Amino acid sequence: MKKLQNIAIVGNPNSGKSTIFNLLTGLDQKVGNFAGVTVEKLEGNFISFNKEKILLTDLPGAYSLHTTSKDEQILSKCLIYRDESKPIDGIIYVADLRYLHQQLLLLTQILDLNYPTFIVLSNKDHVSEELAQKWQHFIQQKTQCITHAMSARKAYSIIQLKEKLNNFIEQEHDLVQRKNIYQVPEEFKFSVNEFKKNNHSRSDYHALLQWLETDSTKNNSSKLEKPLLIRQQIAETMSRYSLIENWESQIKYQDKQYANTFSKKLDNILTHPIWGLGIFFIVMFLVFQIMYSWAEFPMTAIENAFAYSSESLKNLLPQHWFAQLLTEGIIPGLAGVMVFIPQIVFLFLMLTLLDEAGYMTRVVYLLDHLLSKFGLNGRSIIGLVSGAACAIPAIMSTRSIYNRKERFITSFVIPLIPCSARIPVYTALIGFVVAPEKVLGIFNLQGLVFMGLYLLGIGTALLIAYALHKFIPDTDQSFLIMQLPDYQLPHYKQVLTTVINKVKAFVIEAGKVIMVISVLLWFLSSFSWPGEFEKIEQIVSKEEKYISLSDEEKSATLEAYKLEHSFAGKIGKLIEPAIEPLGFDWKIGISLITSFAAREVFVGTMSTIYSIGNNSDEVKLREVLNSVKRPDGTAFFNFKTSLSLIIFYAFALQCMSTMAVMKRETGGWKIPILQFVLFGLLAYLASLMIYQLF
Amino acid sequence: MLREIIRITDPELAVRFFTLGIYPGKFIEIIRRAPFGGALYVQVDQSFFVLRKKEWEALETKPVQL
Repeated sequence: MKKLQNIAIVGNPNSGKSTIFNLLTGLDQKVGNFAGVTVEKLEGNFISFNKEKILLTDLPGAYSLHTTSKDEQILSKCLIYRDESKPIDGIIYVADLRYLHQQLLLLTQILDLNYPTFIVLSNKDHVSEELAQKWQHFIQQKTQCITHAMSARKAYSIIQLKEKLNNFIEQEHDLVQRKNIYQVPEEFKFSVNEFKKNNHSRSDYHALLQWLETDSTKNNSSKLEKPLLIRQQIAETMSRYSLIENWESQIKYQDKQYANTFSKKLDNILTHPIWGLGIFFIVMFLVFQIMYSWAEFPMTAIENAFAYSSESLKNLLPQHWFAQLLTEGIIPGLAGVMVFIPQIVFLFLMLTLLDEAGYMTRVVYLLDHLLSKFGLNGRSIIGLVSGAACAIPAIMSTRSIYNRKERFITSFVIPLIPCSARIPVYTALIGFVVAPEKVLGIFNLQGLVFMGLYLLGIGTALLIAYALHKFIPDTDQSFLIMQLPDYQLPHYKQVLTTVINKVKAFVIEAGKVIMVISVLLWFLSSFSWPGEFEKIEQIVSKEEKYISLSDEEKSATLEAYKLEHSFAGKIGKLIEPAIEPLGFDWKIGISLITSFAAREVFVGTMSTIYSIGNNSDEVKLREVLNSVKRPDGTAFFNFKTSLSLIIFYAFALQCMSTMAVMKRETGGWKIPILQFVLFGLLAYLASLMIYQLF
Repeated sequence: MLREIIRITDPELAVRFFTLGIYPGKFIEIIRRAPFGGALYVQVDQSFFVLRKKEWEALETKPVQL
């Protein structure tokens, strides 16, 4: 007897299958990728009563095996083509009791594939006890599968779920040979039978699907012309629905219109043509307000903790290149990753709460038409909003967009949305552009400029999206059709795991790139040709001005000189002629280069160059920058240089991690390099215009 | 106003409609429309769906006499 080892959880989107997955696995989960595609794969372990570990995989939600989106294709890849390293050998099918009519469709397909199946009917607390009992017995009797009607909010329901799952795992499964619900049409019978002989098909239906589409995901041509294939799919779907309708008539029981009156009433306001939009903007405003205010304290704490540990290690460790690598390369790199975590946690916490509650699909409905004019989809809004925290999880969230073109355009323009790494740069420079005075008595002028920068980012993103929309031919049909889930109280475990997984994605994806770059930058900015630093030190130490300085000032001055003559300094001077028309000098040049780790590194680099030590904040930097003079005695950071620099940061793709993620999502360096060149050109031209015109 | 679906004219959209349980013989009702000629909010059986105008036009419907 072969025991089940690798069980997949399958069901419609919003069927409650992720909740079941979380109940069975707890927080012991792993985010991976499916072979060959960049769709997140959630895996966890269920410990059986015999203390055996059973691997559970949460497959993306789908309505049918005839798939339409990249996410849904995963289902057919895993269940029909079985090209994962550890093929699925059993299925837990989750169906929402409120919407059984649709949700049974995929179940009948799954059953026809002859997988051992355990059926969970979820959301029992939303229907009458009688209805739930009737369906549970009926389905169990019809399918011969263990069936469990349950509510995820009731403890005894969960205990029963685990008991029944155990029985399911202990059962003998070699003998599963169900009679197919859907019969292969006469016209294909001969070919399908031939095919089945040569392939390890699990059933006639499995052979039919394999035979019809050799592999839809590999773009191989199907056995049938597209219209014929579609006709076949519709015929199959219809025959399944007539069976389901037959089942429904046998149950002979319907709840009185429980019909989600609450959701319907709430939607009268939340999806209202006018109030709906207004409420959406208020909700977004609150989300960002909360994100910035809650994140402020932990961010400062993290910054201080890293600065402190770096300083104390510096004093503790002997003067050695390795100690420097640790205190100037690795620790700041780590700090650069950690400091963004609070904002990312809070933004995703709120977005996940809104999504779990059912609100985000309403937003998709409200904005779809507007966004579709720019070649985007209503679903793009989630990526665009997330982009304000960090482009990396935002780009990853675009995977739920069905249409390839819309998904591509959304991920292409996300890096233009002002992310949290740009904020420190803007904060350091904004004072040189406008004074912190009040306009019309209430508005802070600097606040208005910040707002303007957000609008600039969003506006440019939309413009570029529009240009791409006109430029790229339509490959597949764009559509919206989707079901609105009922509003519900978010399940805390569900929210928690989603947020944890998003943050993990950021730490792993961005983290490794930021670390590598920051070590590389440490090398470039701390080394030069052999002997050069000693020479500089000798020359500098003889200068009269230097001798009169205090010890602390002396070491800061030396640091600045060293940076000037390091490899990074040389590169900065090399590119100076190119950036001079923008109002930048070689010092800014160095900072532009070091910003590739993450944009906020700008602040640290500028602090080192202007010899105020590298653990300083934007405020201190601003004071020093204020005193920097040009040869003619005027301030170096005047209005036009500062504005030009801010605009440069608004557009340029100064983020290696974003490029790495784009490479992974698009399967090559072509797109990230195109983005880099395009946004870089845009940044250059915009800054040039500002500096030359003012 | 309640309408009955007679036919779905676009075959590719049809697959999508069918899998969601929207097919000939079902009753469909427009609940509201998004601003500026945007998406439609409809009810079929006990479920609510949103769809674009173009998708709605792929549904051939007739009014239901109650």
